[in-house]
Amino acid sequence: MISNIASTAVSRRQALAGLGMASIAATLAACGGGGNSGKTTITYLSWETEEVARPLIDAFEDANPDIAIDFSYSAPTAGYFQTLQTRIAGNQQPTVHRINPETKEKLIGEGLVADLTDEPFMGAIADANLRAYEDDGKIYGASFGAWAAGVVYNRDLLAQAGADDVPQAWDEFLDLCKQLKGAGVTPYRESVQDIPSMFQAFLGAGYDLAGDERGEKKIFTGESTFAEEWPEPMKQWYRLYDEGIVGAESVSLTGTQLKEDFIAGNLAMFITGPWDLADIAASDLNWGISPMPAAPGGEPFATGAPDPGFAISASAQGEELEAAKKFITFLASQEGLRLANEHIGTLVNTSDFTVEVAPEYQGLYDDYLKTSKIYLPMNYWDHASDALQLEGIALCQQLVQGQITVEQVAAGMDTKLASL
Amino acid sequence: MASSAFLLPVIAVFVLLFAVPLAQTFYFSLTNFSGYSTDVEFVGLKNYATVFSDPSLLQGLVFTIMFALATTVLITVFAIPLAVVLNKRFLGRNLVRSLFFFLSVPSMAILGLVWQYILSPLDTGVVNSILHSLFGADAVAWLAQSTSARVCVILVAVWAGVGWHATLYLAYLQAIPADLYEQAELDGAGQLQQFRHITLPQLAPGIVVSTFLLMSGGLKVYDLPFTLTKGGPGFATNTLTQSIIVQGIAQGRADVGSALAVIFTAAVALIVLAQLAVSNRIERNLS
Repeated sequence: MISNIASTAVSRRQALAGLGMASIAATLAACGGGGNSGKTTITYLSWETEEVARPLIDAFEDANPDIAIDFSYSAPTAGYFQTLQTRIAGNQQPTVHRINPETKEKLIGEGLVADLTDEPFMGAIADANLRAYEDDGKIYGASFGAWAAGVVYNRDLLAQAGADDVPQAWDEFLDLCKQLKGAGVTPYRESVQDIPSMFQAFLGAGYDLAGDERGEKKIFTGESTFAEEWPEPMKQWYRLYDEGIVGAESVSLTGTQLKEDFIAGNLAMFITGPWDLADIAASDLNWGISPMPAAPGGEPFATGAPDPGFAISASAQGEELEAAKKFITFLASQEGLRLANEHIGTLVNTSDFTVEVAPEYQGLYDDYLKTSKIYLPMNYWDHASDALQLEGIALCQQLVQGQITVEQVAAGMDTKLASL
Repeated sequence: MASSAFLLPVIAVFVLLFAVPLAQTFYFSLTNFSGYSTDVEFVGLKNYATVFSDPSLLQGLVFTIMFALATTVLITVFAIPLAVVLNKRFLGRNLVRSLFFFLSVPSMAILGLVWQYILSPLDTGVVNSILHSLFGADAVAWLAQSTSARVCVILVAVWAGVGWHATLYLAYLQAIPADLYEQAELDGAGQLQQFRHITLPQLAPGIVVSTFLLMSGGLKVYDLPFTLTKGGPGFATNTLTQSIIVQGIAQGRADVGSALAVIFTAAVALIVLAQLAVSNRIERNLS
């Protein structure tokens, strides 16, 4: 009885959604003027604007005159996946769309995306990118780029404490911060409006040294817990607060405020990634960027993550499926990667392509981004990563405020995971 | 009969864009709908149990109610005297009226971002710079402590809303016949007595409208806390609407998001209806 009601309601919803989509499709068809007759058309939901994505689309269509791409755009990140969710619920899943750590559980779990494991275009993809969209030994997203964040530093301010670079050992880093503070320089600031980057790097370094490619995935298979994985690296990170180097203001500091404080010459070091480097380079500062220092028993590492992957709808069949594969093959080609870097700014990390980066960033690009020495916990959280991330941020903020302990942060994460 | 035909398009739109989605939301709240798969199962009240056992959602409920009540009371308390002042004749009156009204023109989301800079915890933050130059005070992290963050969110909302509601009261003030005040003056009534016995009763319908808008708007608040504090520190300034959006869309938990939305709709309806009943009684007593 209930299942009948459910199926009736769902079919009504589908009918409504179908009506809506049909009217949109009719409108788009009217706009399109029917110029794609005789071609195989694939739908592509992009999260780059048409202006940015158009050179890639045009180049692909020129190389494949028998295929047309029906392009649509939605702004990342939440808006994009809301659009995707709505289209999937209305049986209008795009042939090609993006997949990211927060949505892979649903997209893969519901059987909505195709298995790309054995496709030739997966051959040159970096290990970190393969791991990011892997589930049960199969890969569902083709990701060709990544980002890596490091410690940006003001050379002139560091020189006031006799340093010319960021120390690569955590104890030495903390000592430098204290020396700078003694010299009247604000040594280091961070934002705790996300799970702290330094802590994430400590986690990643630990797994990398242990040769553990699964990272925090073990928590989600029941082999481990946050209470086992988090406290040690978190205690090291928390020394910043324990030893009076950073204060509770981190809770309300934004990335933009940190960048502006650094550019104004008020701050010696902070953590950021490629998105801020153009603004920093445009300033008159004498600056550099370094990997995160190594916690005791660890190694220098970087916070970072693969770019969102390209996924193919599991419902694509025949010519549509082949056309979709051709499109991703083109994106993985030398021309496709060059265009992606040129127009979208993709920091390509495949084994067969290298991009030109700012000289200051070269070390991070070569030694960390290209070699997959990057870590972002959410990429390894197989279940409810978004909910856990929010909980993690809130717990870290409470820790910084002195309301809870490191052990309570980890226990809180386990409690949240158990409730989801 | 013919006139009721004019209602048909409105009724059609209401049913299609409000009644149907509301019914669907209630239906989804009783299923395991993720937002993606159309293959759903009936789970009864499980999603409602999840909502009431999640501490972050309960914190969101507490702050939402706190925000709605505080902004309703504070804006009303400040807007009425402001309207009385703006109703008097003085040089530059229109400019002052415009300035106060202008505060409500930008979107709350933009105001949140602007105030994030004003309340920056750095030495260079606007408020911290002023306090340092006047009193030599150290920088204060206004948005980094739960209590001060809540106070800041509420005060920014009050700052932004007072002018608009004062303008609303101004319209009601201008409708009060002048001879009532003339008669009261002849009878020897002072300014305070005139305010208590003439202005306030005559403003009663305006107070009902204003507090209704404030309460319903306060319960639906999303943009200001989201841009000013992102719901933090911790979940101190998290709101129910934020939870609905985060759970339903970002986390792919449309079932829990729907349950939250149903509870929220019912709660708002109850509070607003109760408020209207109380307001109407007060209005009758004052009139």
